[in-house]
Amino acid sequence: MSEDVRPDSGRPMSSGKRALILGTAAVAACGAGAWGGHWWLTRGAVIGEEAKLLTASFEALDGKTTPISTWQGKTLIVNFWATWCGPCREEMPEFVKAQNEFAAKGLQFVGIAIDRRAPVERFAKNLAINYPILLGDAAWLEAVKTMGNPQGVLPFTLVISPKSEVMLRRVGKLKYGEIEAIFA
Amino acid sequence: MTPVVWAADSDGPLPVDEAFPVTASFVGGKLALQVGVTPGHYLYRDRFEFWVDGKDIGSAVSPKLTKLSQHKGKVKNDPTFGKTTVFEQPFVLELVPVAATKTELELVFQGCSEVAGICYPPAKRLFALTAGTKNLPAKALPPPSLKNQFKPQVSQ
Repeated sequence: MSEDVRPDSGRPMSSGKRALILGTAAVAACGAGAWGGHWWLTRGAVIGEEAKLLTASFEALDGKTTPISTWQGKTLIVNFWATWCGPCREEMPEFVKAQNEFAAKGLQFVGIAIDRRAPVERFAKNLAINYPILLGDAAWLEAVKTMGNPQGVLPFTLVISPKSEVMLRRVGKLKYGEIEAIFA
Repeated sequence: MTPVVWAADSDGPLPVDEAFPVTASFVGGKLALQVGVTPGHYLYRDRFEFWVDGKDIGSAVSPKLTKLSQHKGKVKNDPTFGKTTVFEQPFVLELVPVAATKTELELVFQGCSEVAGICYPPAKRLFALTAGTKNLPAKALPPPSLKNQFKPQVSQ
């Protein structure tokens, strides 16, 4: 990540943040193996209520109670969203595309909708979403505040490694190129 | 698989009360809300709800509201919801006249940040007003149930 502008805002990035990102990128370049040696990922790899999320169960659109652990061992992208959130809806077609493209490499998207069932079902059908959509209650908007999303806004996305380490926390849209980079 | 650096953004979106600072006034028996909208943000007109002394006086489109003044909003063509009116500029909302000398006003609102590419969940705020109060800041209340928000005209 070398761009000098906040990816989601177009506003200039602070010098402190730029240093942090460049610093971590430099450490990344020195890392050995896909995951080993990346201390900044494994140290405090799960924060706040992320551990609770990874062991939580949600109602799926088919009515079944589905634990997040169903997808343990995959590269899991958990996307909190809602139909009442325009930016959420805007990024989802790219998630559908990425799920198709990278499923064979172990990618599994899971959407957690903080919303009512009816509009979620309608939206999922219209977009032909090809990954599981679960229904979360509003309490998760509080829980995400402990996961690097202090304002509890949407969309919010976590990328979780097959070893259940959180690789990336994104407040705002996750771009296709960023997903692609994970599997490069 | 390529490692990804930590992408948490310490600047992040503004707190909702900084993005949308709301104050209330109660002068001459008239309730008014001064609604701030930080540049690059917007509020949905149809997602306002109001209670005066615990009594639901409706949404921003309710005829019970005496005036939606100074700013009529902008129509956005939402790909999912169709035409929706949003407020991108500060505005004043005049509510029902109240005969009492003190009153409680509860407000629900919801908006998004264009610059951060995010939406805030619905926020609920309380104003405990006495006659003559001007520009009183809100007290936060627990967020409203999502089941009661996003009614059919908005999300269906």
